[in-house]
Amino acid sequence: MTHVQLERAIVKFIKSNLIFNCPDLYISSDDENGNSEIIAYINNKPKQCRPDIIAHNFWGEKFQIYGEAKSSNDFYNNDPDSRNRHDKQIDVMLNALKVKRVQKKYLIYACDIDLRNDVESLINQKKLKFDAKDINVIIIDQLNNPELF
Amino acid sequence: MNRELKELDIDLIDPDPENPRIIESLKTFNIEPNRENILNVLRNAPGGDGPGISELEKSIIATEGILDPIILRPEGDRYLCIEGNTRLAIYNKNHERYPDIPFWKKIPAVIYKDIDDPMLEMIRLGAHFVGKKEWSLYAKGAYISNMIKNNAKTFPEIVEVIGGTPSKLESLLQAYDDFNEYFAPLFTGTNEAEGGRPNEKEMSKFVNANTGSVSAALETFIDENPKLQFAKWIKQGKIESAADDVRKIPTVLNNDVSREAFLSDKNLKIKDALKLIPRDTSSGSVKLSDANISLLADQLKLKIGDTTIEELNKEDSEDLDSLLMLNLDLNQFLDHIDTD
Repeated sequence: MTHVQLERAIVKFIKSNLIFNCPDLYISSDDENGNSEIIAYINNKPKQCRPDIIAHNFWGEKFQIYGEAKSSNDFYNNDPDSRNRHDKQIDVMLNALKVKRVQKKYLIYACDIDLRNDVESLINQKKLKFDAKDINVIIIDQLNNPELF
Repeated sequence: MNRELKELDIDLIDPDPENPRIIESLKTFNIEPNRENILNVLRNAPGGDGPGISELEKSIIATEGILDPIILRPEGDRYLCIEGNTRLAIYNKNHERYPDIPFWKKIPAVIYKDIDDPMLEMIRLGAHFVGKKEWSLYAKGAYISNMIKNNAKTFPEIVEVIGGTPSKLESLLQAYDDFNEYFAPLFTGTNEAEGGRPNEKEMSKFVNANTGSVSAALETFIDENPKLQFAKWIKQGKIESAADDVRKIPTVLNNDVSREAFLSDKNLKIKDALKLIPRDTSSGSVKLSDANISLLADQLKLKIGDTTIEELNKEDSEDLDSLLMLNLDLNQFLDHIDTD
């Protein structure tokens, strides 16, 4: 799966999921719209990253979503800079979600099925590290299922 | 004035070779001003639709046609497009691509039959210099909010019609909501003794407060209800300018001294809190060329905080050009570090 395919899968997942189905759904993908950077303070230092997907609603029970697409090429890249970027991206997205005053917070990752365990384990370690218990993590790995995507 | 409204075959309409959007390009590149060339140049001119699908084109598709008819003058058995050349170029491009779709074959037009050159210039001026009076930010927010709440349109459907990125509309709607949820309730009556009325012009401060760095600073450093706190600062007069003062918030909140003072003294304005941040820190008498990036960046942030948009926009100021160049360099540099 390419990065763009994975990114589009997240958009499709959000749009077709009843939890997020509302007329005031704001959804923006970096591929289509060019997302802006989000900022989080980690140890009092501002850090930034650009999520592949940003989504939220405006009224009622509010939710906030950041989504990230990770192809095998992205994830298993041995370049230390690249690995640092993944680490920092997750740190920023978790910490930005942590301070949001909304009822539901979601971090959604789309990846190839063979990556699932590694991605899930990495995010859960980070959740513990930042005490970000209230963030729901969703991993989408059924990308080859034509009934879903 | 003799005029007529009709749907006209686009093959009968010629674009205006004197159109200000393209006249320079035609001259500079020595392009023969025939119909095909002018339409091509129009697509690539600023505000044109370029090679992909433009915002204007998306909007035309979403509204199933243009909202304002183009303006034409008869020229023999053909018509000259006085106003609406970009729309004509979009129709023409799509008609070439999809010749069997009738939608792109005819365009709504007003034909002025006896129009002389002075009147033609008046129409162009009226269209491009006066135009329609745009709604205020508050009015736009109210309209969109009501549409969604009344289930008339969804957020994505409105984005389709308006064009542009969803984030522009998001920022407007979020600011309108914040204004009504946090700011308006701080005013209990209609006269000064009861707290006065909320000024709708203050909504632009809420638009700026939703930008990444400001909202992140508010959410991180204000423990309880940061948006309500921000609304109170506006009512107290601590944030005076939407452009200059709101952007100072991250710098002030990220420094212990200025944050403590700003949060505890309800009369301290943000611009004065900024002045409490120590200026020289470790610099002492360090030469500019010897200072490290962190020190230079801190000092530049403070300097920018002290500068108003008006000062930067002065004609003889070189500061704005320097900042724009720095911004380009920084973005290019940070792209290698921050993006994926």
